[in-house]
Amino acid sequence: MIFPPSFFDSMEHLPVHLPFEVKVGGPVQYRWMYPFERLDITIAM
Amino acid sequence: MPPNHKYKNNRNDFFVGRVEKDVAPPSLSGEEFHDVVSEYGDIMFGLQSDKQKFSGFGLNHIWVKRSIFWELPYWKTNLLRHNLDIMHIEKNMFENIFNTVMNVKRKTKDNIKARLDLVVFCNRKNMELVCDGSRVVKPRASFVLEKNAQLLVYKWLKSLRFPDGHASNISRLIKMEECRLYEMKSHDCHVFMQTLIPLAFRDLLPKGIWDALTEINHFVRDICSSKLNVDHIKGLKRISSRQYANLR
Repeated sequence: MIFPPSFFDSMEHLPVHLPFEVKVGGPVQYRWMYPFERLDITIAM
Repeated sequence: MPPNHKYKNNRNDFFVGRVEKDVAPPSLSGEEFHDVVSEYGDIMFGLQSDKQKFSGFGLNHIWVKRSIFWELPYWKTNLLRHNLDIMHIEKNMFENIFNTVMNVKRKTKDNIKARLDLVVFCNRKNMELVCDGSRVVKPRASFVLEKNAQLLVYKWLKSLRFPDGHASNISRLIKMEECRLYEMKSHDCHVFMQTLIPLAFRDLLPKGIWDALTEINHFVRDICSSKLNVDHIKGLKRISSRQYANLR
């Protein structure tokens, strides 16, 4: 009972689903966006 | 949340006078979802369509369109239809937590409107707005750092050095005169969530709150670990819902 209710938008709820995703999809490193975000820079140039 | 958890009988701290008896809705499999979704027909979009809505909108569901992915023959057999990206989740969580704890103007989630909501929904007398003559005073919440504590955190961040390539140079992102942290890249947020959260707020926040934040830190670290153990993941599931309730 720490933060006020308005703290909790949908983003704070999403971690609840993450363990299932990890179970089904494997380590996050294969599914996250970092490499593509880097690639965006290359494409923009 | 297991049904026998003590928060389930809590009448005061979440919503006043309401006890949450419901369990989480069942998670449907792809096939079951397909059956539900295909009951709703197609909807025309655009200017010619006169704002159609699926029947039962607002009563049984709040769906406004059916994703075209459902037309793919294999979509219903996909185990994971949408991949939540931990990068964005971590970034948003970091921003919300940091801005709220550091009481950053216009960014904090603990604003006047939040306090007004508190009066309606919750029973937290120490956080309600106080009328002091003609002024309305927002009392400092327990999770917000005091001004000098904030300065300490910023000073500490200013002096931070990372190994080469680990994160961007966070000390460069601090504007000491404004007491602000600018231009965090999402990977910096990732590093902050993974390593710095417990260190930054240690001894500054009250113990219970620091514990909750540290638990989040452990959770994201476990989720992002490159070696996973099935039993461990089952534990994580339980932990994640507990943290959520803890913070709430």
